Amino acid sequence: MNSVEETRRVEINMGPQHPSTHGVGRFILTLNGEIIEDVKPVCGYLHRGLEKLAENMTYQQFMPIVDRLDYVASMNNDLAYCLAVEKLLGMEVPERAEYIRVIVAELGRIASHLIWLGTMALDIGALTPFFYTFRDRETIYDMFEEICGARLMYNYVRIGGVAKDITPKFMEMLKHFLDTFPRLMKETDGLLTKNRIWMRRTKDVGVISYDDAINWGLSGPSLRGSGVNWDLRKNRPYGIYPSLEFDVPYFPEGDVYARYLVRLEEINQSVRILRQCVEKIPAGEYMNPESPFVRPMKKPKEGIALKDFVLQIRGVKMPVGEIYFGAENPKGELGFYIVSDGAGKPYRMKIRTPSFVHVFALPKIVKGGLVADIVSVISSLDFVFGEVDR
Amino acid sequence: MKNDEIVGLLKGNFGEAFRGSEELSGDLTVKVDLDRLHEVLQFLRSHPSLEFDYLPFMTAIDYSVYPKPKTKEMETKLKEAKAKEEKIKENEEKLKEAKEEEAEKLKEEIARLKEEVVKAKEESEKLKKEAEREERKKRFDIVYQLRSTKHPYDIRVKAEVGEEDIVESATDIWNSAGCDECEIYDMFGIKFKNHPDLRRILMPEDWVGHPYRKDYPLKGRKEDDEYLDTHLPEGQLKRPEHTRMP
Repeated sequence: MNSVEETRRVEINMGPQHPSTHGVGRFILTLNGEIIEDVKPVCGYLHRGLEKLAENMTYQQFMPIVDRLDYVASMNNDLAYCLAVEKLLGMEVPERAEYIRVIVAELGRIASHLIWLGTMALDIGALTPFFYTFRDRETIYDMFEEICGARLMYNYVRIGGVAKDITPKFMEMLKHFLDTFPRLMKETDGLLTKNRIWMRRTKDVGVISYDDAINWGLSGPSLRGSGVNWDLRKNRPYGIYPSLEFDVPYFPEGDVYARYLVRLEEINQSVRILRQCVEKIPAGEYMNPESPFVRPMKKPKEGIALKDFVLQIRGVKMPVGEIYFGAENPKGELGFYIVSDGAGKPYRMKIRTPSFVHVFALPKIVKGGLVADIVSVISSLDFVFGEVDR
Repeated sequence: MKNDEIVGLLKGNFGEAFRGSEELSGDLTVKVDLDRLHEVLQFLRSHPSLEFDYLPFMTAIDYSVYPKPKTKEMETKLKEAKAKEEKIKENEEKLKEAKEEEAEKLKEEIARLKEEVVKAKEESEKLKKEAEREERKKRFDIVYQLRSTKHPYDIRVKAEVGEEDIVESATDIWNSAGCDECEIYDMFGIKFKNHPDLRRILMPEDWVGHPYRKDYPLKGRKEDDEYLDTHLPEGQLKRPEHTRMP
């Protein structure tokens, strides 16, 4: 009896060059017929040793590298890193900068969710939503190009504020986007949400319960898809989020469809936040002028030039101590744990990324399911391998 | 419950195993003994008014090159402060006898000196605190960041770990500890017992050394380069010279 069952068991290698693993993910599946018995995630193909690099760079130098973590939501990564360093410094940010930060972060969230929606639909077999979502994402990237000149790696949010003020043209583009986007989003929504094929591929697939979701460390939309009313913007508020009105969507089913609904609703909530920001944004500074990371605009005199040079090489001295700051990113909780020994470079930096935890929670979710469903589960957890391997 | 009360609760329950606490901008850090670390974690997870049910991350820190306490600097700062205090006394005595014009000057000087004394004392106290904290015998610290989803608390638990020590795995409390423990084993070489699948996850399985240790060179080791140069697949270029260790 045993020997017969063992001959039925097959090991299959999925990835690292597999289109639906969203990067260079590799999973070793153990199958019994169509049933998945075990999944072993293998990662490290994109490992760059960012935490080691951080120890050898000043806080300012590490900024552009943070963009490379979750490369489809760079703005949010920048924001999380800046907030962590500001927490260590105890620095305040001007109100206008706070609003600009929220605007770009929520736009980044929409862009990230649009990529997720398009690729998930593509993985499951619906080709059309991909073109719709990438069309809308394009307008967001055009807006980012208007304010910082880059389309993917922005390095726009800086320690103490943002790099540049937003332009009147950007505000026009943003208003136009807010007018048109919800209508365009309805097209995609109409294609999928009540679609019978879509529902059969996603409902009751990849279920994870409330307690398990917390215990396995899921975060962000994946956690809310299991009915946990948890959002760091509400539960551990930061920035100006407490003064903005928005709801935290959560669905108790815990399946792929619930996670899909959460993200779809989050896009609407982000639009709601953006509308409030456009109304409320005040005039004023976009960068804290007392920030030690700001360089003087004029050409400095000789004595000061030397000081400036030393500051660039050794970095701004930070207070001794250790802090952890986690921010709500599109994929989940992105956190930075910084240990400072008082020098201009961090003594140790741990980057807590949501995708890393999600990849290792995957076996729990897909065990006992069908092989065909693993693709939709992977898409619904929405991980990016730049973040997993760091 | 405030941070002090959480600290008090831990002190009451674990006595000598509790090694102190720190707070910086709202982040609470407690230090415990490695022997009772697992018990502390279980206590924090199951206590009805704490319920730390979520583990955002765990990691390790290599303290082998952490700057040593500046005791000499502290002493000189204290000496300076004392000398300035004496000068203040002298000036105050002069002030009693001095005329009007001189008196104003002296007053200014006294005010300036007093400020300097306060600054020097503050700095020396900071240094003193660092000096007191720096008495570690073991190389690593293992760090657990805990969070409660039911109550508004966060806490960080730390314990000192030596190179030979084996830490009890926390996977029986939080399953999300599994991947982080693998990473710590991979990057720092700290071993865990009772872990379901302890393996290297970011580096190749046959890799020698632990990259996040402070004695591991940033640009890689020479022997690894030599090995890679002789075992390159056909058509693959060698690693450029400027990216290697000088």
